[in-house]
Amino acid sequence: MKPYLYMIKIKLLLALSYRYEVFITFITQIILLFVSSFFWKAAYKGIDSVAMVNERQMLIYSVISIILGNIFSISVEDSIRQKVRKGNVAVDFLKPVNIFYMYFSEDIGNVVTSVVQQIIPILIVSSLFIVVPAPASAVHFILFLVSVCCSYLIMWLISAIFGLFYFWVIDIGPLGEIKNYMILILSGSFVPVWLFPPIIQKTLVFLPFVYIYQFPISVFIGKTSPMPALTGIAVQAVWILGFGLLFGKIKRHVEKNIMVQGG
Amino acid sequence: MKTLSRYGLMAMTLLKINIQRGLEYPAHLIGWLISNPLQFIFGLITIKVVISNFQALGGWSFEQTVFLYGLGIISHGLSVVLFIQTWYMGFLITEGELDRMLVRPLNVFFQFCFFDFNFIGLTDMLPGIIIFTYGCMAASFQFTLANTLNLLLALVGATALRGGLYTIIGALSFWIQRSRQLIGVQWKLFDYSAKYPMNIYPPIVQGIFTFLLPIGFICFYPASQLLYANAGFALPGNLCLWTFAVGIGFYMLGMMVFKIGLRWYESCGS
Amino acid sequence: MQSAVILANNLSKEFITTKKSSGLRGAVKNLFKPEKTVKRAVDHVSFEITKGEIVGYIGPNGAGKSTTIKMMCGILNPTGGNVLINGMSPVNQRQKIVMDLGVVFGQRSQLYWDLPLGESFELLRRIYLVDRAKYEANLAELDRILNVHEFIDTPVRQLSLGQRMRGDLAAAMLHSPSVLFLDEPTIGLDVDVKYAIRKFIKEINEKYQTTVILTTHDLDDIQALCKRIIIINDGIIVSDSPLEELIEQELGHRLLIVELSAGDFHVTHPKAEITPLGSNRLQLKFRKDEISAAALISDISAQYQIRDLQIKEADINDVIRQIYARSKAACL
Repeated sequence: MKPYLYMIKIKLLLALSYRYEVFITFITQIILLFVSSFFWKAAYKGIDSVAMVNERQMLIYSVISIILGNIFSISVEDSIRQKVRKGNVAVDFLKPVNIFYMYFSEDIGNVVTSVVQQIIPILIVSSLFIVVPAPASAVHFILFLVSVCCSYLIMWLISAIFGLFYFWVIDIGPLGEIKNYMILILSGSFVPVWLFPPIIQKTLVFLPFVYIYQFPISVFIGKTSPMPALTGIAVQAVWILGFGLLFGKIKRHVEKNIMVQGG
Repeated sequence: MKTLSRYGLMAMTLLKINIQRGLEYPAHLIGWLISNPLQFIFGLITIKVVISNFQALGGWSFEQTVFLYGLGIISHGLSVVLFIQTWYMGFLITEGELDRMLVRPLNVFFQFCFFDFNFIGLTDMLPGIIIFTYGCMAASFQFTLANTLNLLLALVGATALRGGLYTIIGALSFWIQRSRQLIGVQWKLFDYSAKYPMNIYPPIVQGIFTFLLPIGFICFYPASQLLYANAGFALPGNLCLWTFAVGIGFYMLGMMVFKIGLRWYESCGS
Repeated sequence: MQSAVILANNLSKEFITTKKSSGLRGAVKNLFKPEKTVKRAVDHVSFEITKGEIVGYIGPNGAGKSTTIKMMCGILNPTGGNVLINGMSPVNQRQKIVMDLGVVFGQRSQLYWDLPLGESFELLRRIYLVDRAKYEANLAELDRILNVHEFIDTPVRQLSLGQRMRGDLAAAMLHSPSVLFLDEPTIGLDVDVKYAIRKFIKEINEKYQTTVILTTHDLDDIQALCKRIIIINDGIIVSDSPLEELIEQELGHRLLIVELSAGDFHVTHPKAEITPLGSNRLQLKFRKDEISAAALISDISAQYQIRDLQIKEADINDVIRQIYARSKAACL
């Protein structure tokens, strides 16, 4: 456990030393926060609720979405890409620790950092100027926390699987971008999927995307009540299992190849 | 005159070289051809979904918003082609590329603009033109002589305005070592300002985007004039002409900041 | 009369740096109150380089070498003093000066990574306004020594480090500049390529009277090329003299190593310092101006039978190490 904890600490130290980045990232988040709040206020002007969601809930939705965006900024894909490019990824595989635990610790370190540097300030600014992002109830909040952890795992596994692709093709170029756009739009990170035409909504239920952003947030604002929330968490667990197995399979394949070709 | 033709010839050579470079990686090119349009299609879906579920945003119908959005993407594409290297300025400085430019007998700013001419930006242009054409038809925009001229003025102005702002932000890397993320901020700002009618924001924000950081001119003001749509503030005169003037002004400002930055670099190093 | 191609006069450069404290507390402190310090990287440096010289400009890492070079090419403006290249100041006439300057940074290529080498050459031809006939002639001449035609149609990213370096050297010389700055041109190269590059530098220097300023950590480069070396440490020039003179004055002695056949001997000599090396071998340290090697050998062979002998010249590496050590001691 020790090396992984140390990794988290290193990440924290690194993040603290980049003071411009901290500030600039925060400014970006605040811009995003205000722009989406104005956007929804304009959309709701004179309208009580759409799809049983009122203006206040929608504002909370966008605040929480921005916060989740911070938590989900996962670096495993990028770490692998850079290492494959420099050709020193084989060295990592030879270290006496599991490198994916190492990458995971790094990312957890990032989450801890962003809670301190971004999320708490965002919550304060949002409460003061836009809306107090209060959960629908304590039960909803607990279910939200559980489902966010699941979302995180889904996101992380998707990133890690994409990272593993770099072993085959040194540069998958814009493919990673395409994946990111898909996730952003299909997960309801900005516009909830419940506003989409019914046929698309029905299709998206069978894909993992909505379980990353929309599902936990709708639990938070109370659009999803506790019982369906539990079902949703079960579905998330199934996705985690699926992606976990896929990841394990690809990883074993890659490791075998590295042993044969020597990186 | 002689230097002008020399720089013209140089620019042509660099253009050729950069197209050649791009063609070295056909897979990337195809990747961008898919991913960039995808991004804009998703943007369009967002607008469609929200307007059809709620109402016209700030009095702008879906068709008008598409026109606005398309106009924004075209000037974005043009600015990517022409000014992308300003995004990497910090990188060019830390990697010593700037030193190299300083020991070449050419204007440094010219080298910045043309040594990495990026025609990947054209993959933005294509969806931009399609979306814009659709917007023109849907919002029944009339291609009269006056309208066409105004449109051209607006496009040139918007591209120059983006270029100027990119250059200013890029030149900040002379002072701040890691200004790369600032570019992210700017990107988000432009992205939103281009996507939605600006009059959905409170007057103070509109004021900032008009008089301080005039991104309203990138597409909102010209589009509002060309479509007779709600512009929030009632600005006097021809808004497309204003866009042109503001664009050229900001571009010059960008060059000035760059020059000052370069002088600072020469006295401080990296 | 020989004219000064490069004239540095009390050249100084100061940098302001922020000090970064370490540890978690340090990181927090940096966030709020960074500590600033002024560092004088180059301190009143003066020298004069005449046409056709090859000058080695050396010093340990961080001594101020590249800062000086950068000031000479106009990348950095001096804080104090001035530098003139061909009588012009890089501060206000940079574009004019660089037209007649070739610069090679060993660690960074100026060639287009994705394109065949020839494309970069064509571009440089246009940048430096070299007309077609002159370009062809120059290229043929460069090719004779550097053999660039072997890979002129290969994308630069596929070249070996040695080929790339040859390409970079050719690129820097295409416009036949009168001054060539070489910043670690042989870094990371194998023996053959190093040799080719030294030969190239020597030839262009002899043929075109090109003035060459060379910074390097490879002292074999210096020994092979430079008649004069300038040593800088902590921003101050600690030595500026012809190579032989430097060696002479720093290490006037030579070493004679002899292997004697007899097992039992007590060699003494009034003009040599003797250290036994074991297995019948002795090291005799002597000064050239006090006794010649021949005299010393004959003195010893008069008493004992010499089986084998070897005379060692003072090594430039020793000289430099000695100078660095001394200037560091002076600082402390």
